[in-house]
Amino acid sequence: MSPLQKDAIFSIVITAVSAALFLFLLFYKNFQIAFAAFAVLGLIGLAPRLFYRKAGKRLLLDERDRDIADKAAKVGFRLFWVAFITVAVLTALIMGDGVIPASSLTYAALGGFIIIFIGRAIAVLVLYRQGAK
Amino acid sequence: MIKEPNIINKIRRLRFDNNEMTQEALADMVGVTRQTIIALEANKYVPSLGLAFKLARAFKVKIEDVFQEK
Repeated sequence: MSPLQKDAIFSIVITAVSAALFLFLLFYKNFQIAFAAFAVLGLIGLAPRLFYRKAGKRLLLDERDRDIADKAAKVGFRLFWVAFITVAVLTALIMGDGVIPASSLTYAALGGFIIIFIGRAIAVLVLYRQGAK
Repeated sequence: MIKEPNIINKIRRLRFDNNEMTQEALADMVGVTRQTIIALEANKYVPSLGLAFKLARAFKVKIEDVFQEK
């Protein structure tokens, strides 16, 4: 299995764990405490140390892997852009010239981060499965 | 949108013709992972021109002897 695939699975698992923790804390505590569950997403930053360390002379990534990584990153950013435009338009339609809480920016940034990482991770797994023709 | 050409290759045949060279050995010769050789043999990946030349050189044949347009 390529380091990119391991990285993608790791990102999905970490996101799923933080989402599950968020729902658990939301049910038993309150939103403020539950929101802290997304701090678990910071573990995604460990991926380079875990999966991209060179073991001897073995080649980790080649042109096909880089091709897949580029395509997957584009998918992640496209999904983010679609979500961003949708949320912006819906907010304008629903709120009009009204005021939105400043904390919504934090939620939007976190949502964007999750969309990019999950979109990229799923695209990596799909592209490897398809052979990335 | 530009349509990608359908390129097929004879890498598997050429590997066997070259003393049954392993995928690992070929991957090491041309500087890619074994997974890429597997994808190439399954015609699921079209390599860059640079890699195509390296593959042809590894088998000591011309590039058109390795790759053909379908």
